[in-house]
This record gives sequence, structure tokens and C-alpha cells, in this order.
Amino acid sequence: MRKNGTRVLAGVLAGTMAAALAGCGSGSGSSTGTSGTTTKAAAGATTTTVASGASTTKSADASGKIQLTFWHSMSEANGQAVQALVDDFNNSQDEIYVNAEYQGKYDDVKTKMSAALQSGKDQLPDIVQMYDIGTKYMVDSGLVIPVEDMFSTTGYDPNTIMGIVKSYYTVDGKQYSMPLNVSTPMLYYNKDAFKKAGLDPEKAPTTWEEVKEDAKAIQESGACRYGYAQAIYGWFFEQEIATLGQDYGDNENGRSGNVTKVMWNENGAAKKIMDNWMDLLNSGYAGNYGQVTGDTQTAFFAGQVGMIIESTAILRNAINNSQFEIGTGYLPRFSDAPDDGGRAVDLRHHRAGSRQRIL
Amino acid sequence: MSSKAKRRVFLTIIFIVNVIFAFIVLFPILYCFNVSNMTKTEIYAYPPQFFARAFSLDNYRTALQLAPFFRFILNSLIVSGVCTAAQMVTGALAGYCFAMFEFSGKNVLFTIMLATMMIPSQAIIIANYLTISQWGINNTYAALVLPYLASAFAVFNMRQAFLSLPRELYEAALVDGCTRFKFFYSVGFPLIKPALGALGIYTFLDTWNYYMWPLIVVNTVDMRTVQIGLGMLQGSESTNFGPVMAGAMMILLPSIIIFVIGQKQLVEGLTAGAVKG
Repeated sequence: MRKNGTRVLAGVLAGTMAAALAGCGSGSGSSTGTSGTTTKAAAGATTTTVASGASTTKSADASGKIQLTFWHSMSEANGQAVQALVDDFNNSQDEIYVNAEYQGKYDDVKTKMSAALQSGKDQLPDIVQMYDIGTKYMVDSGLVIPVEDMFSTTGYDPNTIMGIVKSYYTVDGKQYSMPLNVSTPMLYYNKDAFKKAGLDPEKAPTTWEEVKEDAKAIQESGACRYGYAQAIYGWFFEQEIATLGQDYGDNENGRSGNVTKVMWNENGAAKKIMDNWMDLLNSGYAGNYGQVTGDTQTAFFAGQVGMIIESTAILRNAINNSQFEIGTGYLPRFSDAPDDGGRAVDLRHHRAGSRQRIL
Repeated sequence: MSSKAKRRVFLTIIFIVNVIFAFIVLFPILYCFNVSNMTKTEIYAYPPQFFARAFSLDNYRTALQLAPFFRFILNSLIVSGVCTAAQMVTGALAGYCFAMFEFSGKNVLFTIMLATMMIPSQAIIIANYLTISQWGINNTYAALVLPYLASAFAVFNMRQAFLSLPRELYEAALVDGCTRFKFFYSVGFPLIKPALGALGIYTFLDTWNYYMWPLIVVNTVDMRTVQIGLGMLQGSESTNFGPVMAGAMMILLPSIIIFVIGQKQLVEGLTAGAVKG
């Protein structure tokens, strides 16, 4: 997968959006195609015992429609995209009406959920978009219906979900939520700076050694102030551990039991990552713009930095905001890391949002 | 140099220094205004630019497309207005009692009330939320304002204001047959007006900026207040600064207007307090 370059990544994103569409497009009578099968996913909730209780508490409005509440964290362009999907669904059938409500950023939604959980089911939404790291929190709440339970009753084909994404949301052998917006960190580079430095603008560095070489070339050509930069951000650290094929916490990263301790200090992953980063900074070819990811982005957009690593989610902003041509590549790896195993970078998960059905 | 000329030089220097400090204080707002007029490439240009190339409303248009800001401003005006009025009334009445009346347990009561100021508001948000949910008034203006109709700070502030009035005035009025309430509104109230005005502005700006409570208690877009509305323009991964700054300018305007209207009261109130302790 890595060899196919950025195009595959774009495919991943498109795929998750389609899944979202399918998820949102639930309830209509159509039964063909991907969205047709999923269509029944939400409506199917009423056929399972647990969920039917919830739907009966939902008051049908004057037109006799079942009203469902969907909390999400998508603002700006993504917010409009989610609203468009929900509108499509609402217009596609006349049994269910979904109210999509923006409830603040990922952390804000979790805060709201915590408050609502304590006050009983009345205040809970029917569907919520929870970020990846809230997966265990949702499962532990005991109030969610695993989405996998609805696959059999609705005939939804779970194979349309990427295996690596599915595995992230699988706890105790069950897929709990529907992926909505999965993103991964990748390398962004300034093609104009590459040209100026005499590098091939179509060839992104794939290993940290190459990143260092390219950063040196960019900086020495005077194309940018720094060849490379990355924000001091926990997600990148976590993702780099994944590229090394190592675990972040014990019990298989919490999949086979609760995490009781971190593993990166024992398995050597942290030292390797930090040594590499320190080496880049000490070489003088990498800049440090602090903990706010937006600051590193700004430096990159302003042409001050030749390469950064960032979420796939900022691609649109990167293209809109920079005056040079943007190039992308996979998150650089360590040349001695296991090649493309099942758990390499492609299994990155942190930013994946997902939808969960609540009782 | 004559003393008059010296004075002129002195005033000029003071003026220049004032302008410099005013610029430093206003810089973020000026920059925010300029960025709200910039195109994306201007925002990310290097070296950074202070002035926008041209006045443009594009970012304002985008911000209004993404979120109904006028509705947010209306909601915030209602919520802040009600909270401010209520805190002024409850604060003045309670402060008057604490300052002028003698009753058993007064000091204990006052200390307990002051102690509540030490509890961070985040700590009681969940408890308040549970109460509001039990009453079934989530997502209403009532839910937004109820917890903020009275505040310990307002009571304390008003008590200090009433304490600054000579006690003899109060006693003489009572001896002459004035009722306590009549003294409150015909003598005390006019005298503490500057302090009350200052409290009003403070409370208004404070409630205008609330984030956590409105976020939790309100669910639908049409009930949102301004700060959450501003949050709707920010992405979880990256932010488009132009519309955000345009939104910030829009929600800044009402608070600036309130401040300009109340500025005289605020300055008078603050200096009055400072002199009298």
C-alpha cells in the first residue's frame, strides 16, 4: 500500500466518506449497492430489542417521523459535508428524520457525553461521533449498541470497511462503531522548494535518512529557512511507534484488556523515535515551532519550511493556503523497521472519528 | 523655558507615551481586523503583513455562511442582558442587607457566601447540569441564565459599595421614619450607581464570554451563544483564520459598544472604590 503513494491515501479518505454516506443514508427502502445495504443500518436499530426501546422513547413528530439526534464535531467545510450527507438521507425516505447537531470539538463532545450520561438517557443523542481515543470510553459506558450487531439484521457487508480501520474499532471481538472520517499523518512537502534544491519534486522521501538528506539540500539551496519541521504532538509519536510495529500500551494496546502501563519505554520505540528527532534538530536542518500544530502548518504554508508531517485532514487547507505546489508522501519510516506489516503506518488511527449508536 | 512651555513639552511626551501604550493594547484587535480582511495567501505570506491589501468582506460572508452569527449575537445579548440585570438586582439587595442590617449569623452567612467564590465553576457544572436536566429545561434560555442570576462576587462588590456610605446617614434616615427599602432606592441606590454600573459591565463581559456552560446545556444551533459559534469556525485539525477573525470581530462589536456606553460608569466606579477603599 505504501508503494502506491498518495493516491491510495486519497482512496482511503474517499472510502471513509462513502462509509459515512452509507451510514447516514440509512433507513430508506432501497436495497442495492453499498449505500442501499447500509440504508437499513439505522432503521435496523428499531428491529433489535435494545434499540427499539430507544426509538419508542423518541417522539414522532406531526408527520409521524421518528426523530433521531446526531451529535458531531465537524465544523467548517467538514461540517457542511456532514450536513449535506444528513440532508441527503432525510430526503431519501420519510420514516426517519435525523437532526445533526454540531456540539463543539472532539473533547467538547466527550465532556457533553459525560454530563449527559450522568443525567440519564433522556439527554443522550441517538448517534454520536466520538473520536478514536474515546472508543474505550464509549464501550465502558455500557450504553452503546455495537454496530456489528446491526450488520446481520440489515445485511450490511462489513467487508466494505477497510480491515485495518475495522480492527481499530473492534473491542472484545466486536466492531463497535462505524468509521466516519479516518485520517492519518503523512508527509507534506513544498515542490517548488524541491525544484530549487535540485531534488525530484515528484519523489517524496520515504525514510528518515532521506528526509534528513532532502532537508539538508533544501536548506543549503536557500529555498526555505528549515528543511523539515514537525509539531511536538503526541499523535505523531504514537503513530511512529506504530510504524516500528511496536505497542504503545500493554494488553495489545488495550484490545485484550485494559491498558495498565505504557510499553514504549520497554520496547525501545520511544528512544528510537526521540533519538531520530533529536538528530534532525541537532543537525540544524529541522525547525521547532512548538506544540501547536497550527504554528508548524503556518510556517509551512508561508514557505518557511520545506517538509512537515501532518494529518491527511489538512490537505485541503494546505492546498488552499499555500502559494506553492504541495507534494505528499507517506509518513517517513525507519529504514530498519518491519516492512509494511499489518500494523505499519497504515493502521494509524488516532484521528479517526467514528459514529456510535447509543441505546 | 517658561513653566508653561515646560508643561506643554511634558504633556506632549505623556501624549506620545499614551499613544504608544494604546497601540500596544489595541494591537491584537487591529491585527484581528486586518486579518479578517486578508485573503488566504496574505494571511500566510512571509514576512507577515500587518495591513490587508484591500478592504474585503469575503471572510465575513464565509463566516456568516458557516454559522448564523446574528442569531448567536442575539442569544448572547439576551443571556448576558438577563444575567447582568439579575446580578445587579440580587447583588445590590443582598449587599445592602449585609452592609446595613444587623442579624444573627450575618458574618457566618457572609463568609459561607464568600467561600463559594473559591469553588471553580467547572467543579459545579455537572451538578448544575443534572438539576437543569431533572427540570427538563435543557436547550432553553432559562437553562442558560438560571445558574447566573446571582453571584457571590456581585453581592460582595455591592456590600463594599454600601459600606462606603456613612452609617450615620442610614441611622438618621431610619430615625426620621424612613423605611429600609425606601432608604435603599431613594438614598443608597443613587449613591452606589457608579459601582453598580461597573459591576454591570463586568458581569456582561463575563457572561458574554462563557463557553463551558452554554456548550453543555444547549444542543441546537439556534440556541448557541457567540463563543461556541466562534468555535464552529475552527476545525479540529487546522483552522482557516480569515473567517475566524471575521467572526471574532462580529462578536467583539457588541461588547465594545457596551463598554463604550458604560465606560464612564466603570471608570468612576473603579476610582471611587480605590479612593474609599
